[in-house]
Amino acid sequence: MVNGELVLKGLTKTYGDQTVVDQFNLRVEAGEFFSILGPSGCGKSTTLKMVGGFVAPTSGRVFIDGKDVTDLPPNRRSVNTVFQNYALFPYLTVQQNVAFGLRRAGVDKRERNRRVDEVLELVQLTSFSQRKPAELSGGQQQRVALARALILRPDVLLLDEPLSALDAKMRRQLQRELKALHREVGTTFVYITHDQEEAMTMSDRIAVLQNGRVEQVDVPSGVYERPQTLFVAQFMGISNMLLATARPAGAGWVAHLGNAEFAMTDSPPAQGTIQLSIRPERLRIQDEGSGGALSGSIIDVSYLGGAMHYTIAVNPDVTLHAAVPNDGVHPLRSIGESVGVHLASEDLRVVGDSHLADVSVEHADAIPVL
Amino acid sequence: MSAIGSDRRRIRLPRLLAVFVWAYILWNLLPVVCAMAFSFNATRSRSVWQGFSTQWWSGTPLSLFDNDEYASALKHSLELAAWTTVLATALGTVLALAVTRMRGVSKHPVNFILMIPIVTPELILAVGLYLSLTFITAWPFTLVHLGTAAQVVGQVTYTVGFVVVVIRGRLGVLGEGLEAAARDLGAGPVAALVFVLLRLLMPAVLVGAMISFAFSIDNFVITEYLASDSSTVSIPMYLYANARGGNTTPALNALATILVVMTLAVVALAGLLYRCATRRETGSSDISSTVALGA
Repeated sequence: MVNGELVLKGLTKTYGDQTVVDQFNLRVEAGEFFSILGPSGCGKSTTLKMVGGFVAPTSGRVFIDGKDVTDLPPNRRSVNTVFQNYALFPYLTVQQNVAFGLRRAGVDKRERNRRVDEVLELVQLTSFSQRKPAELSGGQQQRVALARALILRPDVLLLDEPLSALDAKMRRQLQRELKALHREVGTTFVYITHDQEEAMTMSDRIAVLQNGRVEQVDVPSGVYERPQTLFVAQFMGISNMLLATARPAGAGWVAHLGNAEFAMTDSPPAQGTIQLSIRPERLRIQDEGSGGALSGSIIDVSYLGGAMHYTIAVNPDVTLHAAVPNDGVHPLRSIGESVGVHLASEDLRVVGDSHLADVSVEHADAIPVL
Repeated sequence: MSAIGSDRRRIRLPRLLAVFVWAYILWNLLPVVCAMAFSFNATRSRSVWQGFSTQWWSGTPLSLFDNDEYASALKHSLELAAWTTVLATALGTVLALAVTRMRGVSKHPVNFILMIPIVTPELILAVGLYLSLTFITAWPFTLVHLGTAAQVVGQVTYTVGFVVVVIRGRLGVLGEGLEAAARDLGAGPVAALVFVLLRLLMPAVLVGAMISFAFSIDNFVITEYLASDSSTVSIPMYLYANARGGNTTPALNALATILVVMTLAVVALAGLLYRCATRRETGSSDISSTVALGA
């Protein structure tokens, strides 16, 4: 049996009258690479601290492999943490830092040295074992923190924004290393980040948090392509949000967007005013006057290297974002050019559930009407 | 041209400031150096130089090392300093740890109350303690009698606030991260405190001990007030009582020299230990401490 199943049941933390984490229910499968994603202040770090045992929940329970660990202190949970600032002991060498947990556990010296060597090799720090943390680069310190936590073979490894202090290039390299390491050790990783790209790159599944509440738990493609709430749609990259009217038609239903009609099949039938989202890369930009398209004019062009990013005014109130691959096939366009914009009904997603009428009224200002 | 002109102006001001610094240092050092020099005077005079000799240090009945009163004062000062250093440092460390962990409304008044001994004039504290220990016949005041015990209690009461300030500053810099990391790696609350937090606090504890020692060695007011008989006379008390009397000799200067050298030695030692203990914490302080040690 693989260890490391983490279950949160109604986990809640309040400070005074402020609710930081609100009724968090979650099941992380053993061996999963699971990310908790959200903007700063969404409660993700507090959740991690409750799992690690550093903060006592106001209510709710934490289970690891079916065992209730809510009331256990950090040192008695089979959970280890890679802290955001690494929290390496400055007066100990790399070797001593990594051996700290085994020393406390009373593992004899021979076994200890063997396991330290093993884990240092795993994170490629063998030749640095006698250095002090201050003599290492940020990326190396991060790997020491990782080795120090992994050596105890925890059931669940918590990572609190471990790469946030590193520069972009080092971050990408360590993302790859972390993924490889996860495959190698097979431990459950719970990864905290505010970077949606990082979460999508690395995770098996992602929980998106906002204001202490879970917005959506899904695989990366699900969170990106089928956002269930307005927040998720807008937090995960760029989304074009559109208000449409839905009417039943035949077996499915039809979304009315301005003068255009889209036959919808995937989402459950809806009625009344609904929100639709479509990703910039799913818009098709064509020359003006091509049939069936919305027409608009380009008001901004950003060159992103691999892609062109166009902002297109469809009418005075509605602007759409379109990303077009810079592949030599798609023509480059310039500011002021008039273009046709094609939307395919299979790329339109209904955001939120069937009581959308309420939500859309609440956010009506933010959503363009065609 | 204008760039050169402004550069020159920038150089001149620090030079002027450096002159001030050196003037200040000279003003500070000259009297002390003179006083120390006259302990080697060949005659009884403490103001006219009449040749070099070590007679006031040892060799004659009037020499420092052959005089029972001097020796007793020195021994008593060291005894007081040892007690005060140990007790104030231990107590201050515990208080600082406790206050840092306090939560809620009691935190602020406690912070304030801990500062009271620091802002109270020493004389007030000394008189207050003297009256309490003399006239209050209730426990725990009856446990402490005037003399060494009362002197230690008085010095510790006054010094402990400084130790708390120093250690709390360090605790603030350290934050809770490293202790949390120790707990995370399997250390219980006591192990995390002893193996991680106290180890990291060591530099501040050393500075606290140094402050306590330096304070105790040259404290006069509290020590004088809480003394009992001639066996509880410390060096500063002895110096004060004899400095202007008729039977003073350069042996008094020798005693003062010992006081200065002892204080300097402790300060220097604590400084060195502090640098060693914090040397490897960050790259930048590593460099700066190497430079400072080399200078």
